Amino acid sequence: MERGKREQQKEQTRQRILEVAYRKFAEKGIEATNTADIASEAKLSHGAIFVHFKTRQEIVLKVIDDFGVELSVHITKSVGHSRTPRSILLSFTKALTKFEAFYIELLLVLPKLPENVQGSLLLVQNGFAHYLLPAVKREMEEAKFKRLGESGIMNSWFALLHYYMTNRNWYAPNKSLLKKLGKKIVNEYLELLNINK
Amino acid sequence: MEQKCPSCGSCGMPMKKIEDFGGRSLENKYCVHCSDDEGNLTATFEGIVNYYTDDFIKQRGLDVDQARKLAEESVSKMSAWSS
Repeated sequence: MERGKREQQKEQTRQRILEVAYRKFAEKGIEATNTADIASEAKLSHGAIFVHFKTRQEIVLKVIDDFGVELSVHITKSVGHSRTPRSILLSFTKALTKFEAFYIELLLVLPKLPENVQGSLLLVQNGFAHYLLPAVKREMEEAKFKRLGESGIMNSWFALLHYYMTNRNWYAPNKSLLKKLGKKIVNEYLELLNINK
Repeated sequence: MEQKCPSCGSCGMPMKKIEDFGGRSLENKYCVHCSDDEGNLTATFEGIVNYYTDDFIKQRGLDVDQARKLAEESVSKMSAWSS
């Protein structure tokens, strides 16, 4: 019984470290956050961090992994019932709003992170593609949208979205970019695809 | 993260309704595509990697070798394939 309790506390502490790390990474940046920052915020001694994680990199990778899973599930829940490209994209941007700060940070540091981490973000985007592609193709079949290949459909969306997100300070300083401009970004993308524009 | 969310331990697919879980059991770690009616894992590492590799090439236009490498790296982190 006592052992079970200890294990439970250990897991709770590990989880707290990950939650604090996620928040600090989003606020201060992944590269600028060290283990002392995380320990202080989590109200733990610096050494206690290493009881749970061997290295700082292990924390970074676990936080990004958990983030990928959480975001995927959130997107699936949010987008699941949407049918039109507009409603799918709006649901996606709405789902992403909750994770905006961390997602932007991830975009900025991604090329420097290990490839398995880069793949995590691709997996999240891959899940979303399974909603957006059929909806856009339906519009193409009805000659409402220009005919584009799948990579053109997906990459032009992420190019536009990520452009705005990585330049958030130009468009929504100290605010949520997606709350302020989510609809505008969706509209701009749909105008690119719309055959009458 | 506020809460743990279920996703397939083999392919990473989010499992949000009971039909998504292998064997229609919420206890199952694997999705309906990766397991049989009893919830036993039937997917293979190579099969999942091939699936994502094809998607990364077709849906995103990635370099062929890089697509496979990224798929392998990502899938190998899933609980079914990480040990």
